[in-house]
Amino acid sequence: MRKPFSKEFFNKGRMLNPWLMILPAFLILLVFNIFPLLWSLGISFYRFSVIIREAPRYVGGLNYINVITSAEAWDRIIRTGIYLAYALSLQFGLGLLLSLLLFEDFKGKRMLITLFTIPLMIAPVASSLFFRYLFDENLGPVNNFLKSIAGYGPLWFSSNMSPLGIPYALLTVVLVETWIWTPFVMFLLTAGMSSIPQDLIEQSRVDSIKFRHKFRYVILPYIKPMIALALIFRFMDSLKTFDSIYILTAGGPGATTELISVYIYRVAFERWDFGSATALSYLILVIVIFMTNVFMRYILGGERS
Amino acid sequence: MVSIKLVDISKTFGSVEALKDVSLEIRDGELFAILGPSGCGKTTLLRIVAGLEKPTKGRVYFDDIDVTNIPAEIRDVSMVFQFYALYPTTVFNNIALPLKSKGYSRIDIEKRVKEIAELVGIGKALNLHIDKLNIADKQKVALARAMAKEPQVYLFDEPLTILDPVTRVIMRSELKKLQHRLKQTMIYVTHDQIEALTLADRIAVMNFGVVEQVGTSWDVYNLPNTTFVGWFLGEPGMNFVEIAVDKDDLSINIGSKKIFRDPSLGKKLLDLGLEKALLGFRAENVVLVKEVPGVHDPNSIVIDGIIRVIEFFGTHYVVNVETEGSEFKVKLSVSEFNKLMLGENDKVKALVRVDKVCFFNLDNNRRVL
Amino acid sequence: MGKDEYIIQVEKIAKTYNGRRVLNDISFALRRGELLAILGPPGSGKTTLLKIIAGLIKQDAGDVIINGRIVNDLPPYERGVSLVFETLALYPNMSVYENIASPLIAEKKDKEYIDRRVGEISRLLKIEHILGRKADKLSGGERQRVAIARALAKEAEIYLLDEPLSNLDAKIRYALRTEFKKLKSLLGKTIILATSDPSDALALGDKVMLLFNGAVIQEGPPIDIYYAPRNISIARYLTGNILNEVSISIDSYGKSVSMDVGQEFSIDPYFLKVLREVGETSITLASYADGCIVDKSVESCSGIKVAGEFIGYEYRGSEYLVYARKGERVFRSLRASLPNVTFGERVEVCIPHTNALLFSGKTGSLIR
Repeated sequence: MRKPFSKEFFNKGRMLNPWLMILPAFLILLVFNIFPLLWSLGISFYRFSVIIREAPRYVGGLNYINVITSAEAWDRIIRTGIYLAYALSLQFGLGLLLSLLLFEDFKGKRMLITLFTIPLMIAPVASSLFFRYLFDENLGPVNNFLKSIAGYGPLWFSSNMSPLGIPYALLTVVLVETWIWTPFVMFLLTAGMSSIPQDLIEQSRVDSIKFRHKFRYVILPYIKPMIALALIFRFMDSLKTFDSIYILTAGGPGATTELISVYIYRVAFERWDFGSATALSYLILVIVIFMTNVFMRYILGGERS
Repeated sequence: MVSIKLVDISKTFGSVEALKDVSLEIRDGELFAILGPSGCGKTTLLRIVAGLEKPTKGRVYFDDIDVTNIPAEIRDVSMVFQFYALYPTTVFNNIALPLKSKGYSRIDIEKRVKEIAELVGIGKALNLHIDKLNIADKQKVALARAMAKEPQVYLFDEPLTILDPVTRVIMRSELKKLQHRLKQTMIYVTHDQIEALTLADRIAVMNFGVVEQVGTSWDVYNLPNTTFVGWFLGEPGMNFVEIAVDKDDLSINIGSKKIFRDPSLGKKLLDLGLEKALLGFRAENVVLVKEVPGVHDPNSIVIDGIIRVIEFFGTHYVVNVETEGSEFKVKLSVSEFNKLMLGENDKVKALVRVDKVCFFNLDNNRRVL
Repeated sequence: MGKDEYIIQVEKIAKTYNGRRVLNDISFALRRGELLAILGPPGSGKTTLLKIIAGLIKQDAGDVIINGRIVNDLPPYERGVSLVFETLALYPNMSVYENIASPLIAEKKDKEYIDRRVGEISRLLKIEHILGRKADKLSGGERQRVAIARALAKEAEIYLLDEPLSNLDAKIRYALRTEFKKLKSLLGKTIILATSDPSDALALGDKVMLLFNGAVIQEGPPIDIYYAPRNISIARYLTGNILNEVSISIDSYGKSVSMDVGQEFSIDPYFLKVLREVGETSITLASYADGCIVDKSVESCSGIKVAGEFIGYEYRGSEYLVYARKGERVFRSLRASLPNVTFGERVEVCIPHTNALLFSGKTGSLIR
């Protein structure tokens, strides 16, 4: 028997090497992830405000209670929920449509795929700036075009209600985000479709079954895991939507597009109330974890019986 | 019901020639097997018949209709894949889906699915999800699905390979019974010679994208057109030994040894312009003796040799005999082997009846006699 | 017989992994030039045993003795053995030389040595003239020689081959087996070969050692294993689990006989005699496919006769393997022609007592 920590043991390098190998990665993780995480968790239990000129003071769960009872915070959360519902359904609907299109073979497919990667390659800040100009109410080509054919251009950055049931400003954010992220959803679903066994695809061709049956029995079962994955990614990412909003509307007008991420930023860096901001962040984290589990269970649950 | 005609089919994938000028005629109502080693192009050929692949060159006819450019969706064929390719849903849905797109009414579909499922022996499983079935039942579902839509042609791509041996035997019988009843044209692709020999009315043996021979089981086994067919069929495959015809006395020789004195065979070979040829014979058609008693049998070729290797296979022995630098195998039952009391390096004589031998042209490996 | 005559002896090797006994008191001995086939299902411990002999794994107990010297503490490279994991499939895009040299290159041998060794081995196998050719341009026979050359490229007294024939096309496998057996005697090397295919073991082995669940259950020449399997599970394994089997029971008075294949049967008095002699209440009678007759009717059967159903056949070109079934039991019979019956029809199955192996109903061990 080889005794642990005997000379022979280390000579064989069985035990030591793995630890040495992961040490750098572990250190980076520790310094840049784990430590800030714990530190911020600590802050959320302190009254820590730059304006009031006093040393951070331990207040227990007070920050959390403040946040939970704050009508303002709830308003932003609900706003975020509405935004998520619109953004995710649009991204998924279009993403699925495009991936189904790419599922078929046709000329120029590769070219199209390359084109679809463009939104993902451009920094969101840049594309937002671009859209800010496109949708500009007076100078933007979008309204120019609409005015020339319909004689009317909506105020894209106003709090006016759009026909889709949300204010125009929020709709614009949704549209821009959809433009950026639909290809991402599309690529994930396409990856899922490539896992459909060739046999099954060909079987469905020989059987010439209807498209809706093909979708339900051939495609859907194989893209389900990817749907779950995309949903989780997009859900978490959308909660963090910040740069595009900051460029397009800066949260306005009023609080029309002030989603939770922007709100947290305001609380932290405009009101300088770090305690409340971190507390709210942690509440959001809980929601994310909860929702992720729901998605996982809902989408994958059917197969794990 | 339909006959299928393939005319000069070629298929290239990039620089790889998967099929080279394949022409076949599959008769109405026959079970036609395409047999060959992996990579010989048999599956590609089947996929071309199905319409899943377009030939680079050549035409496909169903009866007299050119279907070369008709896609799989409207060719009206059924295909059963090696790994059953079932839709991840219930057994019922699997069988019913192709019918739904054929425009059957709901009641008709239900009746038909039940009928077929009963016939195949999965009537009780209709409402089960296919994940709950064993492999044999899954393959039965695939078969039922293929039957339900009453296609013009059935295409099978090694459907029984993944089953256990006994189930495979039973399913083969079922398939044969089915074919007798339906009298439908079926094409069956397999790499398993036993499967092809057992099932098929006729077999096409393929190698490297070329059809080497088409014929009944008996034909391809006993009268192989090429050395490949002889080698590929049988376990062990056919023996091939190079022989030469003596121009003076028309005897047949291996190296310096006379193996057949009667001039009849030698004359035939010389008439064909062949002084040298490959002698082919099957291992089980050889009689081994230690001494040839009395007069030589004019109906048998006699080859002297030395036993090199003896292999025991339980039900039989295979003895490798060396003669003049070439080698051949002899298959002996255990009792025959024991009677002879053979050992390695023993000298033996191998007798093969003349009506059990073939001759092949050395240049192109084709059978001449 | 002195111990020194053996080139390798393995004595009471035991090995436990995570509390599971994977090898249990394994012992055997081989003379120079012998081929031992270790036969057993996957997971029976074959690979572990080979690795222990090679020195890649250390045994918990027992000795490995090579040339009369205990090598338990020697590292693999000082044991004079070579363990080859690869199958005998070739790298198609490499030359013959590269194929043969690949195990040596992997060992970082110097160029000179590799040249010499490849030259030696290819001279022996008569493949010198094709060293420069690409492997996929070879004929079947050449390819086999190259494959064997590569397996034996490393210099060693004893070659340990782990499933060398697996993953090969049936035709190639068949030919390779013969070639291998021929060359074995030519090379005069000792070979230990692990396989899970009974045909490989029977055809190749001078000796066969059956390893089930980490224990040797039988060892001997192939013929002994086949005709006198120590217990019924061995016989089943040798036939790929399609052994012709019937269980016969006798009541406690020694009068009434019953079989697990229903009422319709006839039985030769010989079996009753055996039952009484061995004092068992039940025995299992078994035969291989060549020791069983299946026909529409078998007139005289000096053995055991059972009524069954014809379920199918395999046509093998020169012979038929006919399948019949009675309940759960499946019978196979090797015949020259097909019986004159259709699928599902009644047939009679006869196992003559001269072909029958008798196993104890209780323990499954061979009676006679």
